[in-house]
Amino acid sequence: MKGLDKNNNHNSSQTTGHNSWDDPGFEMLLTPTDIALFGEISDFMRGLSDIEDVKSDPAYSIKNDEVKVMISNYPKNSLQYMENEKFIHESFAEAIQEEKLKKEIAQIKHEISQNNLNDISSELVKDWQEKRRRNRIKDLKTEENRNFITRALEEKEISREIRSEERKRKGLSKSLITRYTSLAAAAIIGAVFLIGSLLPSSDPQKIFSKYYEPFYAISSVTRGSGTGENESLTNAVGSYKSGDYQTAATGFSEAVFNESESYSARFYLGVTEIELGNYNKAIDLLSEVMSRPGEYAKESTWYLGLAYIKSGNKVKASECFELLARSPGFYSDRSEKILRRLK
Amino acid sequence: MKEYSDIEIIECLRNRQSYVVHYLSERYLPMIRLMVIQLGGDQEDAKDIFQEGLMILLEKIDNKEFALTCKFKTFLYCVCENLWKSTISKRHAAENYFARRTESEDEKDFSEVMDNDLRRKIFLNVFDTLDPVGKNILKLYWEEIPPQEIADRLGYSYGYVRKKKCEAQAELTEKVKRHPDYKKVIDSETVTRRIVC
Repeated sequence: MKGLDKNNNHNSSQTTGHNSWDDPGFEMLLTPTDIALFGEISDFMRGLSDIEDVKSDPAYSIKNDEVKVMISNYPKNSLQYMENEKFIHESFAEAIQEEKLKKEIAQIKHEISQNNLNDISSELVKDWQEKRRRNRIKDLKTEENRNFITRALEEKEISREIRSEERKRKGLSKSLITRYTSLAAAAIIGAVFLIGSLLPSSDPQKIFSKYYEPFYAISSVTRGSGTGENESLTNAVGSYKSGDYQTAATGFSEAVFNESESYSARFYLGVTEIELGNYNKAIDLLSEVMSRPGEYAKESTWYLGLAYIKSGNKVKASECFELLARSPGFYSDRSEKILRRLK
Repeated sequence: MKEYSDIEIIECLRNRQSYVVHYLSERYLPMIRLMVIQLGGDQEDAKDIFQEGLMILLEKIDNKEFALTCKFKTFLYCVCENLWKSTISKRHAAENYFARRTESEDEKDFSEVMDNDLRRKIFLNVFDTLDPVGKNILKLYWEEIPPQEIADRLGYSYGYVRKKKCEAQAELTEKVKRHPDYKKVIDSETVTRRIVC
């Protein structure tokens, strides 16, 4: 899917070249109104074509009866319903936010082209690169500035995100030109100090910090493996979700002991061991889960790769990410990115 | 954005990976929106139905015995269509099924439905006036076919497909904007906005 391209914003596709519509050689200079209108027409035409497709699907009439029963039996007010509702509402709100952002970016791009901001900024960047080429010896001031920015970015990543959200909201009342001009100026000043120092880091610790986050656990009530997961597992998932990894580790270990075939317990124990800093234990557990095709196979490969990174084994980590990069899905792109950094 | 297979969609939903909801919203919300609007609803109804439809599917998918026996798209459409039909009938019985619907809905809805209807007719009419090559390329573009594949299928060069798509897109939007009925719709929306503000 082309994502942004339906609105002619050629900056987000992960596919490039002739297999993508995001070819800078064919960018169109459109007004935001035209972009929005074409987006609306595209949505309508796609919807129309999808509906025709669905209605000509022989399964459509068969499914119809089945679905009626499904809807009438759908239990509201259950715990599961509330969990699902929260997940869908939150995810959907994110999608809407993305859509707004895309529109905003389209508008900014339009103003860039109207005000020749690209030429101005590319001149500034060229000058900066030329200056760098001439002055191989780093001057103290630049170094100080670079250290300040790098440190600030590392330490304040979370608050930076929050501030950026606030800026976005506050900024709505400003004229976009003013906003973009300040944005461009800030970007150029930033670029002056950052180029070179902020290229993606190949430091394993930084890669780990950037990509690692604990697996989002769904309660075993809603995600039963069908193998009769025991009480220890349910309790352990609860501890895991609340961040009590020590208790979670004990619970998951019990679950593994009681039910040697429970790969979900092994997987969660593996991630828990990462949380506890026991990377070798995590590697043993996740390797077992990964070697068995099926549920948690991709997830365990992902966390295994991260555990290898943390334990300093780049070769083994690369093997994991190569596997994921070749396989379509959520982990594919981020694995490619990690691979580029590891090489 | 990546394309996801039906199996991947189900796997990601089981794992509660929110990015798949983003994908589904971008890929299939237009279809659900059109269905809901055609059956008398509006954009907000479509969003509600889409979300509730996904919730119903989630519950079904969480069951390990669940196996998809048709395209995911068909299943989603079926669920949302039935859900919307049942919502309409409930709405007749209990007016405030959605709390926000308490506002003077009759007049507003009627003009909205008319405008939406008219917009769709304009889009289709104008699209029909494009030259056949441009129409074909846009249709394939909307089916998410990459430009090189379109070039191979239709026997054109990649550059020609890209150029033709740009031209067709520009012609389509220009003609829609210049369409006398479209101007009326836009004017009426402007008036409504002014009254509301």
